[in-house]
Parts: sequence; structure tokens; C-alpha cells
Amino acid sequence: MNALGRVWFPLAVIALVALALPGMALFGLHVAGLEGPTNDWLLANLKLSFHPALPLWACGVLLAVPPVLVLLYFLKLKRKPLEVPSTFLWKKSVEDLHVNSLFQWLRRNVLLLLQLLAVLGLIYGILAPKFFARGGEGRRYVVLVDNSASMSATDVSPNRLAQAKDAAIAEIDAAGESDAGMVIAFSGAAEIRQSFTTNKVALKQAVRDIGPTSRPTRLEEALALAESLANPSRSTEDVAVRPDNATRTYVANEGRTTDVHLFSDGRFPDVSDFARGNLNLQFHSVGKPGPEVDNVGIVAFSATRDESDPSRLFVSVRLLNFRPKPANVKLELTVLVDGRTQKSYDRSVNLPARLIETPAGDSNLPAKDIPGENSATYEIPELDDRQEVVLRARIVGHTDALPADDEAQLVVGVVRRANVLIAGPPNAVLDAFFNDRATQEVCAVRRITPAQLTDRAMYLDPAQKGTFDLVIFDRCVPAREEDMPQSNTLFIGRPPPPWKLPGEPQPEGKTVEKVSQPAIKGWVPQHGLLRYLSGLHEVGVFEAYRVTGLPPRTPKLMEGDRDLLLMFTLSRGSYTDAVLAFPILNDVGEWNTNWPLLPSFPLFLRNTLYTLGNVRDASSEENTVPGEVKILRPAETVDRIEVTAPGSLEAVAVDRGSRVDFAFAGTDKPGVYNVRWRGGSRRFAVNLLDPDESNIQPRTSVTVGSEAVVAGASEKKPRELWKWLILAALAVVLVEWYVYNQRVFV
Amino acid sequence: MTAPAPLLSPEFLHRLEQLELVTRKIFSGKMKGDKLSRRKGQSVEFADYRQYTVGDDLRFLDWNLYARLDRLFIRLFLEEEDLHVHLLVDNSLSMGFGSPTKLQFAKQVAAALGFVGLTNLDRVAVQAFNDRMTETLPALRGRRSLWRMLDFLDKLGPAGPSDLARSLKQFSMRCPGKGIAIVLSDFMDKNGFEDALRYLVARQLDIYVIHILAPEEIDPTIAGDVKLIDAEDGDAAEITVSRPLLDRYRRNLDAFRGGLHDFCSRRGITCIFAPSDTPFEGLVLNYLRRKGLVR
Repeated sequence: MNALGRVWFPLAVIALVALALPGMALFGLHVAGLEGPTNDWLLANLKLSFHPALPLWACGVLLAVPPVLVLLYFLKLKRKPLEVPSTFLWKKSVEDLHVNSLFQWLRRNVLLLLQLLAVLGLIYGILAPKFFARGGEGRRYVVLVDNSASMSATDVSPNRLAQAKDAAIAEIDAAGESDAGMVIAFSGAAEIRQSFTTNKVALKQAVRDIGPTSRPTRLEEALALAESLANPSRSTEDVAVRPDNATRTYVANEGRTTDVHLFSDGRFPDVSDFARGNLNLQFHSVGKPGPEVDNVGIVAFSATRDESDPSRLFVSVRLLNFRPKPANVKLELTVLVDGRTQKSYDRSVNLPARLIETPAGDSNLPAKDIPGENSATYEIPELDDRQEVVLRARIVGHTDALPADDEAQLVVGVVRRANVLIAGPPNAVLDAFFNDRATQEVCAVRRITPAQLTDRAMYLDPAQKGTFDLVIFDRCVPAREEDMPQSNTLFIGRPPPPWKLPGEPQPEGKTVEKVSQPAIKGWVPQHGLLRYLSGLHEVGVFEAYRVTGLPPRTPKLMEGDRDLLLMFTLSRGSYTDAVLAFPILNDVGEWNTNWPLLPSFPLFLRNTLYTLGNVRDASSEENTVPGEVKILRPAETVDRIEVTAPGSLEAVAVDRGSRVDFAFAGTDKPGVYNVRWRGGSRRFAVNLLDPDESNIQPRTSVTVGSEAVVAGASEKKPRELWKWLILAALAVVLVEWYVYNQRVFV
Repeated sequence: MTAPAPLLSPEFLHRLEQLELVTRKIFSGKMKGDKLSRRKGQSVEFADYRQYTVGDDLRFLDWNLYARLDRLFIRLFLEEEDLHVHLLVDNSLSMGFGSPTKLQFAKQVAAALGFVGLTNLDRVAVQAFNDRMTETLPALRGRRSLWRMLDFLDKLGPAGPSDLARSLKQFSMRCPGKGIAIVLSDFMDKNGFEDALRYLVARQLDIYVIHILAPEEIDPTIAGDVKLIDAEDGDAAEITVSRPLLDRYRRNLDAFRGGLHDFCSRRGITCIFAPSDTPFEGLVLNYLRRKGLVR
């Protein structure tokens, strides 16, 4: 009994330390990155899993506690000698204590054991073992940080982006240890800066690395990205990709709820056609709230040449004032030829105050926001129309919260004419447009008959070389898919291969049938081909084709009744095939539609020529917004071009690859870009020119899907406190140990 | 090491001059002094008559009585005698602790009481002891001897283990007369104090016990895990200072003090407890006066 009394204590200490060893081993495996396989094994054999709920360093500190406690205990055994007058009373007292409490010495040692047990409990508590569950599963959250141009506004110090980043980092800090987060920076395009991870350090670093851009804001792509990564299988729910033959079982995928934290000033168009699904959107508004906005910006900049005198240029600059009071700014227009200032104009522009009209009575209607607007027009004579002219408009002697929109550039280039091939039987309607003098200034037209489509010299070779910018197939098609030209096309009254007309052998799933007298029900005026078009419902059509088996998400440009698709576009590599599902003239040359009699028809052909034919106008071209991919098509056939960004001396080489044109994506910086190739050069301008970005008043609510998300209205999730309580308990154990040994006068 | 402060300051000495030692017993002395003796002698205080025998001094015959009774009676007077004061100072090693040390405090009290005795022409003997009687200052008388006494006390340092019973037994055997015995000690003797005091009681001395303890002993300030070494015999005691242990120590100390006090009370010994940090002038001038040692 006595021997057992002597050994039980060391045995108990050894047992406790041994019990701590598996915990330490699990921790070691976690450090070595083997948590996954370990959990698999534990789950298979013991129905257990674990995931440390604390960061690595905290776990390390915790695991160092038991050895330290044992060490302290052994240090305690080495007593400090102290001389006293007499041990007489002390000895008597110690003996008394021993007599009074039989297990006094035992009790002291039990303290150590209790402490070891407490620490053991803490270790396993923090390893968070679970029965019948996989470790490491927490909620998912996506941090969307807006880094568009308006986020550079300095209405808050130092700027909105910094404020948004701070708020995002705070949100990441507040997330649980097992919560997986993702960081997406978005402006005109969205970019994943950090994919889903529980590593908060990586997430915060990703947020810190987000830099400002001069791009406009589009939320759709960011949301789509968040959704696709949050619910990767969600796209299989789309009916379009669901297999038609139901031979295999289709299981709808259950999405996973994901919190999306949107840090933005809300200056983007509402995203009404987005199904939020499992995304729980929380909007965190950034910037100084209220209508006290300090910004005047250039939102439009255009130039046109005088048709009768090409050396004369009409320039228009549109300015908007978002201040609540009128503004007077000095606008400077500089004309640069070959980099040298040729002319300069200064003009004072008065802008009225911004007006916010709150609708009376019905408060459900949104307030009408009318910024102060004015335009400055210039007439610049005696400009050489054979040279590229750069125009620079700048608001001078003026400071506001967003300097990015105080300057704009415009390149007035020389004409780039399109090579157009029209294949088909004679068509007076098309001829009327393409023979027009104004059209001929911007394009060169060749015509071939349907029979010549098989001619190598007339069609096949030049088509494969990419000689043409636009090929119009009027009531005829190439015989094979391989004969499609290396260019954009417009099919009139015929579907492109592999679809075949009724009566011909049709490939499986791709059918074409005739429909009589369809009515036009709707169209997409935002699309480049239908821009400025109105009154299309007046168009009467005698006969059209119903084309089935189209790829999913085919852009539907014009729709008729009976679910009829009258105009759509198909993508073919980098080319676009536009299809008009009804002919202008039928096969016998009779009019099939009254559309040519309406003003929208020549506009449609002009849009087709400019959009699909890559025409650069005599006056100017479409503005490129920062971040937009610029499609460049040099006049000569070259394999490589070099692009020099504004303010940069280094040229970026762009290879053509298998495409006919060059896609240049590095348009982040506003300004004039210089493009050079062997035998030529040209310039293009990148400008913000976005009233949405210039209006820097932060929005307090944004509409995503069918609901409005109000900033800050989302409720905070309760945070886990248990680990802090455990840490506090650990601290108490240590303090108790210290007090017990050092200070008894409590 | 700083030089020890003088045992008695001149101002204090001046105040001590007004005091005298008091005994509750009347003792016989060797020389005429201030105290009344049991021995009949030549004082002015009448004691008794006895019949005249041949050889008696005729000057003490009471002639008035002879006239009335026609018999010769001798008038007896109480003899005035000096008082023996024994100051027994414990100088064992355990007395060297505390601040100020218990020995220093004992020496100061002894010096004060000795001075009072010398001033009143008592015979003052100072004796140091630890496990035996170590040093003895022969009986002194008169104020002129003060410096010899102070010198003796000054040279007294802590040494050796303590054995109260053996020391006081030696004293009892050597001490011939009667008088006041004042024992200054911490009574920290593992063999107990009872036997020692019994030896003194047996000599029918008027005994005063001044129990001196250091404040560190009364309220210990040690903490943690310590190995206590006995200063006298090197005995070690390993303790972990805890609140229960301290409580137990205090209870034991109280029991020890109470035991000494009870033992003394029952045997007519005056027991005075004096922590070594007590202002000793106050102790002598007030506390000892209240206890009846001085007047």
C-alpha cells in the first residue's frame, strides 16, 4: 500500500502526458498539412474528425503548456534554504497539518494533476474533435471589393478603396476559423485574388494587394464568379445542358449557402437579371454618404468631320456637375498632331447645380437624380485629314474628389475601310445601301453569285486568308462548315451550316422549319447590331424560318410570336455569325418583308457594317473604357503588333495567333495608346467617360435580382466565443499556479 | 555592519533615575540598603520586642517599658538592606534574529533595569546563558558601576545553542542569596522551559520573565517553497508556505505563549511578552511599571 502510495503520482503524471501525446500528434499532422488524410482515417476507423479552431501559433503556445507545467513542478521541488531562529514551531505546524489533513501531501500533488487534466481538456477542446462529421467545415463567404475608378474618390481619407479594404479585412477577421473565404476584386471585370481558403492571412494579404483601377464598374461578372465558385455545380441545373435522353438519372445539385460581402460605393447598374440563389448578399457601402458630392466630370467626348470639308472638325465635350451647387469650370481643349500641340482652346463652362427630385405623394418611386449638364462645342478648321489627330479635353484649375474624369482623349483617325463580300443572287435592296456614296467611303464591296462560293479564287482562298472583314450570305450558304470564311458574317434568310433548309437532310437535333407571317414581339436595342433601332414591331414578315438546336445562351436579338427567333448571333471562334431568320427578298425575288421601307433597315445595315465590318469612321471610333479588350485590325496582314501604353516607354508585343485581328487587353490606364506594326501605326484612346462612375455619391442600396440590398442592413452573425473562454480558462490555471506558489496572502 | 546603537541614551537614563525596582518579597541582604530586610537591625522602623539577655546592646533597651513593667526589653528594629537583582540574559544563537535583534532588545531592557537597580543601591548581577551559564558580571552596586555593566552587556553577542534547563539549574546552584531574577529570553528551547523555571521557583526568587520574540516570528513573511534551517542546531524543515500552514503556525505560537504565561501565573512568576520591535523606553517606563517590576 505504501509502495503504491509512492508511485501513483509519477504514474498519473506519465499517464496524463501520454494522453496528451495523441493530441500533439494530431497537431503535428495538422502542421504538416496532413489533416485531410488523417481525418479520413479517423473517420473510417474511429468515426472521429478534428480541426484546430485556433491559429497555428496559438495551438503551439497551448501545446507548450503541459511541459512547462511539469518543469515548474520540478523546479518547485528545489527549495530555497532559509535560516530561522528555530524550526521548533514550524515543524510542529507542519506535523499538525499532516495530522489534521491525512492526505495533505497528496492534495498538493493532485493540484498538478488537476492542472494537467485541465490543459489536456483544453488541448482536445481546441482540436475540436467531432463524431460522425468531417472536420474543418465552416460557412463560406466571398469578399467582393470594388476597385473601379469611382473608388479612387478622396471624399473619405485616404480614399474609398482603402476604406473598403479596411472594412473587408475587418470582416475577414470577424469570420470563424473554419470559415472558408474568397476574395474577388471587381471593376469592369472581376478577378479572383484568392480562392476559397480558411487561411485568413492569405485572404487579408489578397485584400491588401488590391490596387485602384480606372475601370468602370460591372457587378454581374463578379457575382457570376462568386456564384460559380460558391456553387460549382449549379450550372448543371440549367435546362439547356440537361441531357435530352433521360437515360441517366439527373440529380439536382443542392447549392451551398454563401455569404457575399460587397464592399463598394454602389455606383454600378443594378443587376436585375441575376438569381441570387444561395448567395446571401450583404452590401457594405463605402464613401461619405449623402448628396454632398464634390465632382465635375467629362462624360462624353466626340468629334465628327465635316462631310463637305474633311479638314474641318466638330468637337463636342459634355460635362456633368454632381455638386449640389452650380459650378464654373475652365475647359481646355488641346489639338495634338504627332505629339505636338497644334492648337489650344480655353473655354469657361457654366454648369447648373445637381437636382434631386423626390417624387411627391408616392414614396415608392426612386428619387430623380438630375446632374447639372452642359456641353462645349468647338469647330476646329484646317486639320490634315490624312493624319491622326489627338484631341485632349481637360478641366483645368479645378480640384474635386475624383480627378480621373477631369481629362479625356480622343483620336481622330484616318478612315479604315471594310472589305465586304456579298454572296447571293441580285438584291436591289442591299445594293441600294452598299452603292450609296456614304457607304462606299467606309467599305469596299465585292459581289459574287451563290455558284461562285465553291470557286477557289473568287471565294475559298480569300475567305480562308481573312481578306474580308464581313461576308454577307444573302439566301445562300457555303456548302460545308469548313468553307466558312475567316471573318464575321451575316446570313440573310438562311441558317449557317450545319443547319439545312427544310427538304434537305437535316442533322440530328438541328432542324429548320418554315413559319408564316410571324410578328416581331421584341428586340434588344442595346446590342451593337440593333443600336438606335426603333419601331421594329411595325415590320411585317411573310415567311421566316424556325431554327432549333441552337447552343445554350445564344443571344436572342429579335424575337417573334410563337417562340420564334428572328435574329440571333452565333459565335465561331473569334468571329460572329449574325443570322436574320427571314429573307428580304424571297427566292424568286419578291419582297418578303416591308422592313426596307422603314428607316430602321439602313440603320441596321450600317450597324452591321460598322460592328461586324470593323469600320473605323472618318471622324472617330467608339470609346474604349479602361479594362476593355481592344480589338485591333491593322490595314496590312502582319503577325505581330506593338502597343505602347500612355506614359510608358516600353512597348507590349501582341501576337495574332490564329485570329485575323489582335486582341489587346492591357487597356487599364486612360490615355492614348500607340500601336505600331511593320509598315504602319495608329493610335486609340482609352477614357472612362462613364456618368455612373462620375456620380460618386455612394448608394445605400443596390438591386441584385428582384430585391434591393440595403447597406448595413444585414445582421451580423453571432461569433464563436468558446475558444476565448478556453483561453481565459488556461490563463486562470496558470495564474492559479503562480499564486499558489508565490503569493499566499490572497 | 553598522555599529550598534548605545544601549541607553542619556535622556532615558535621566528618566530612569526616578524609578526603582520593586519586589513583592522582603529579602535579607549583605549590606545596608534601601530595602527593608527580615533581619532586625538599626533602622527607624520598629519591628518587635524581646527580652533582654546578657550581652545585648544597652542602647536598644526600652526604658519606658522597664518603668511600667519593671522588666528589661530590647526594642527590635527592621534592618534596611540592599536588594539582589539577577538579570539573566539569553544569548543563544536564536536571539540573534529579528530587526532589531532579540538579543539587542534584551540587552537594552537589561541595561535599563540594571541602571534602575544600581541607582537605588541594589546589588545588580548580570549573567548570560545559552546552553549553560556563559558569562557572569559579579554583583555591582551604585551608579558608578553602570559603565561596567554596560560594557559587559555591549560585549555580549549571540553564540551557541540554548538549553534553558541546564543553564538555570547552574544559576540556581551558584546563586547564594535571594532577590529578583529577571529572565530575558525567547524560550525557544525544543526541550521546553518548564524545568528551567522550576529551578528558579525552588530558590524562592522573585521571578520576572520577559519573553522576547522578533516580529518575523510573530507574523512570518516567508513565502513559497523553502527549506528552513534551524540557526542553533542546523535542523532542517521543508515547508511549502500556504495559508493553512501559516494559520497553524500562528495558532501554535499563540499556544506556546499562552503555555508560558499560564505556567508562570500558576507559580507567581510575572510573565511579560515583548516583541523586539516594541519601543523599549515605553516598555520600561510604562509597561513594566504597570506590571509592577518598577515603581
